[in-house]
Amino acid sequence: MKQIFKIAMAMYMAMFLIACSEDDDSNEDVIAADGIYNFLGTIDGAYYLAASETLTEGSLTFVNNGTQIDADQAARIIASGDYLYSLDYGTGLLSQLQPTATGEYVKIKEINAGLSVGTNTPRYALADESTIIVMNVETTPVTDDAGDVTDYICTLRLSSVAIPEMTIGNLTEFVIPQTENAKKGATIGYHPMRASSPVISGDKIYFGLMHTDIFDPTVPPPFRAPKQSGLETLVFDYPSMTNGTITESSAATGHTGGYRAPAMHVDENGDVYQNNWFMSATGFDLSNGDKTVIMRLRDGAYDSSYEFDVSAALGLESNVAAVGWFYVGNGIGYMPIQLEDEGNYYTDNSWSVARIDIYNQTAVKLDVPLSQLFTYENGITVDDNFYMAISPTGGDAAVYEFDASSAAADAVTEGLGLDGNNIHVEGIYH
Amino acid sequence: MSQRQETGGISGAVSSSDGEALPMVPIRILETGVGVVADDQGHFVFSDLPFGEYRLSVTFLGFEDRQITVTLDDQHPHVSLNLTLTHDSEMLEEVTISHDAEKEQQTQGFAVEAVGTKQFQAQSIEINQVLDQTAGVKVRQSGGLGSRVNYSMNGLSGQSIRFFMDGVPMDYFGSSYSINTIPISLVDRVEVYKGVVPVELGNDALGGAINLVTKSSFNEFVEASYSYGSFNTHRAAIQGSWRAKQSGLTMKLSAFYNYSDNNYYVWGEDVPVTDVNTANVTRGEKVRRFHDGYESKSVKADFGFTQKKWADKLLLGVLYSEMDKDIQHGPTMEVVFGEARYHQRVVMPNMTYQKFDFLAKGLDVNWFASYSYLVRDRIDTTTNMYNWDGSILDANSDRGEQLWTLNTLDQKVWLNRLNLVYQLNPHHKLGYNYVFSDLTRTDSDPVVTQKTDGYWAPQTFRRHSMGWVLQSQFLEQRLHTSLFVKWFGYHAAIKTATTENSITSYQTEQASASDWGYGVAGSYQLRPSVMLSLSVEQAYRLPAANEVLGDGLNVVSTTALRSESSLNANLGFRVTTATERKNRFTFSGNVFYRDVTNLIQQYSYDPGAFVNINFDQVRMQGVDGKIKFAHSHWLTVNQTVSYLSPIVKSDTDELGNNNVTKNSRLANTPFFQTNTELRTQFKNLIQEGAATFFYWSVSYVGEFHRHSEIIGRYNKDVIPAQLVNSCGIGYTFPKEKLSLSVDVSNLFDEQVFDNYAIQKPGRAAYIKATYRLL
Repeated sequence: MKQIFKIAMAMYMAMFLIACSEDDDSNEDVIAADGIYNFLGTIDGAYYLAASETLTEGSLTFVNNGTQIDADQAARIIASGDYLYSLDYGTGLLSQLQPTATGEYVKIKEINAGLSVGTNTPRYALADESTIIVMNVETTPVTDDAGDVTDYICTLRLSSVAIPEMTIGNLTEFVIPQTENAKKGATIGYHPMRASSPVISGDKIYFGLMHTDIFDPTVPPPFRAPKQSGLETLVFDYPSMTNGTITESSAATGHTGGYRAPAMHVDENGDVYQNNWFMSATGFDLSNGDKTVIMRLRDGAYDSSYEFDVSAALGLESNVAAVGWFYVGNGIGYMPIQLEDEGNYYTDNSWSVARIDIYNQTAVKLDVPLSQLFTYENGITVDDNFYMAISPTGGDAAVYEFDASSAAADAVTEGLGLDGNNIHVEGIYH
Repeated sequence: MSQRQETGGISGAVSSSDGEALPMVPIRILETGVGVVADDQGHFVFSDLPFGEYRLSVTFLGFEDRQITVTLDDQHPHVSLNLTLTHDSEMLEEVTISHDAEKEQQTQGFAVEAVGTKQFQAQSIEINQVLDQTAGVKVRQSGGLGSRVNYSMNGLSGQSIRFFMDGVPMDYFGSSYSINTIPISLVDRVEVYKGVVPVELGNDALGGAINLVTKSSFNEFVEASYSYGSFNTHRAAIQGSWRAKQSGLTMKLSAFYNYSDNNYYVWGEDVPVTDVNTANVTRGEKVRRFHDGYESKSVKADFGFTQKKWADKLLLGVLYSEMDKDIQHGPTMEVVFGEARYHQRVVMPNMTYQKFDFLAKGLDVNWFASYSYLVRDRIDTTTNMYNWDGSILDANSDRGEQLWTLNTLDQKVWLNRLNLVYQLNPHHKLGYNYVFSDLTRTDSDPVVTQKTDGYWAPQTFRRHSMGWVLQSQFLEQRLHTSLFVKWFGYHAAIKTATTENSITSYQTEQASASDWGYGVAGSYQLRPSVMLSLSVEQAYRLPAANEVLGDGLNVVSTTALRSESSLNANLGFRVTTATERKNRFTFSGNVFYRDVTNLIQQYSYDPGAFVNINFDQVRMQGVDGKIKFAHSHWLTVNQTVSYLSPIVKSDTDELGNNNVTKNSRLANTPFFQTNTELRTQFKNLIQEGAATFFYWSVSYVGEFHRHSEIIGRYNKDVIPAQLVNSCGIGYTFPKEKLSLSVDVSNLFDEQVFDNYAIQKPGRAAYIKATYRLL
């Protein structure tokens, strides 16, 4: 009898010890986020950050390496100065992360960024090196006496977060007008249900817009039809966030806010360059002419003297689509392009990368393996080279180095090796 | 000269001294070694016995042994006996109640735990808590009373585990009348089948089955209980039955009411509290849950005839139950809600017909039919955003806290269950079981504009499951075998809509799949004290209606879904020491293997759009064991241990990428667990004829990861190890009419989690009174 009690007691003591012996091997030797290369990897719905000192050789793994970051539905990363900023899409919480020498990312401060714009699923973007803009568009149905929906009021709510202090600014609310063009078509017109990818140039801030037929009675929300003609951009005076207007162009069609990759960049002259998202797989009707373009905006409006037809410049047999692009400098950018002939935009290796020259209006498809880049978030420029992660389904994943000074399709070098397999690297930050 | 009859038979019924029929009692003829087991009504038959003198031996745990000598001769070729067993006062009744059913099913070779509820009836305890202490079973609850539970058995969980009440599938009883709401006092015992499930429980239980067995007798009694405690928790139950001896007219009634504010404290890193002015987030504050109220109520009434010539049981009944539940947060405590809630109610008329020796001798029939009408409302329309302190942070946020909805689901289900058993001869028995359900459901949601989508039209979903079994006994009953074959099938008519050139057209797509399952279970009595058992089954789980039909919003319907399948094997032993010893032990253990393929899971094939597909593969191996120790008649100690090794076996992900986590431990699955319970009972301590009990239980669950444990190094989501102590004391007054108890759960106020970042209640105390009126 006593023996049994002794054994039982010993067992529970052992369990206590096991439970309490979690060792803490974190090292507080901090390093600046821009002193290393930071990688965002995702597997089975969980998100991790891991660091590498190089982009060009060796390999980086997330197996038993890196830091898990809070991600209810997804994690979005911004790098600025010493820190990384991680938005937990689904809770709306924004964390400031400090890399350390051991590869751990330590949470310094946390704010409820979603709260500032009334949602757990805000969008955010780095507007300049000391400002993060947080955005949300609320759609409120307008009903008639019979209770039927006749219209929607789409209110942009935005606030700014000063970094690195992580203090939140005032809320700006603006009802995004539905243009005459957007009122045409669909059941009760197309509505601006998302604003994203803001850039600041001079005293203006520009937001790309996404219009869909949110009333559409026959399809679930993810498949609602997009507006089938024209481009629209929302412009405010900055920093007052007043005089909100919409500028339109009929040169091409599509969304103008990117997806996770940004759609707008400001060049060295202060001009804003914007790509359109026009893809048959996401509901666009290509029968009236498929065109992926770069447009220019100046002084708060589309510049009608500029239109760069990327599709034509590439001259490929397949239809080409894009959601966003990355700017290196001197008119050179890199654009993930979807080749419709290669398969589904979301589940197949159907994406390549094009080097685009927005000044000379030339484009070339680079010699990189096909992969899925629809959800790709960020690449970085180091010493005139552009680096991004390419993770082909069923193939080897790696960082690819693009020599921005060369317009050759093979000006591509395979660099740092990545895990590949089902660990998808969504972005590099510096 | 007529030929002389030289054989005869013995038949009879076994009952306890207080008049209850005793099912499943083993009766053995010592001279021949032949034994039978009494049926559900306590009836037994020995036939084809040569004339002579026989000693019948009845050994039934909890009752005194009996031996009766019977002589069969010309004058008395057939002898009918009424065997009355008296409670064994030397034994702890509470310990033994559970043994019998368990032993019986183990005799058939199944890996089964039978949990008697008698010892718990006086306590403020839920069935979930009792079963969580069972070897190989983990009950994961996401909060307090009435919160969602997920049963896991030897690693398989969710839809793989099926629930039954007296053999009838509970799939359509509604969540308001489920294992999560039914008070323990309404249940006599709970049978837990791991992996391999007998044919009588006709359903597609891939990972196991839990059968709630209610009191089978219809003796006159009325019993009521009421419990009150922490978090304004009230639990009341009443049940009774009445039977007219002459006419056989029978009535049975049970009702319960549960309520709790569930306003317990939560704290720690998982609880973000926002400063409304600065939007700064702090973690670690202790806050009280403020929107987690829960109420459920139910009435179940049966009326009919029992123990008549034409029916051993013919009952018409109706079940009504309803529940309201506030939703405090999403999948973790990170986002807090203040208004979202749901409501569910169900009405279910039903009929039971049971007859032994139906049409032919040895043919038993048991038929159950029901029509269930269920309505579930989800209410989530607010534009308020809440903080953990209960205040409103923003009154103009996105509509809906979880999902903007006023969804109403109307579900009507016909269910039929037919069970036939035919005794071929004393050694072989044939069984057949068939369950058929026909579901029609309609969703409506005034806040969703796409009401013309085919999804909102009535959808139908039919399921069949059938099983055949041959039960045999060999080697003078030392070897028992069950061979079985099962068939499962479903058929769905899915309404969909497509729009081309602004013209919407509707289609009905057909989806179906079927599978043959099979298996064997056997046991061998190596010695009187040692039994070995083995069971193997190729098991299937049909897709559920939701998985095939989608949700009309982000999860689309599919016609391609097949059953999940698993090869399940159990190898077990059970050793018992002689019942007359002062220190008595029972050791039982089970080694198990599960090879699961085609697991059903949601796949995002487009941003924000999902479809269910058959995909993953997992292999589980492990052991679970139990030691029961009883000292004299006042002390018992129960110790269970479960260890599981769940290994990911998928070669690739859904897109075709090689799977980095292959051969690593499956995420979000607890794998080590022990429970210890010490219980004492003293008779005549304060008053003559009274009983006092005291128990102390300790449960431990090892740490496990929410995501793959091989990915990442720092800040990984972990469900921490936990050690929870609970105890209680109770007193039963003489004549067993009134019992009072005090129970304290989570005595040391540990922070307890079954799921990542969802804290369960801390220390709570309850008092309970149970009164037997008749």
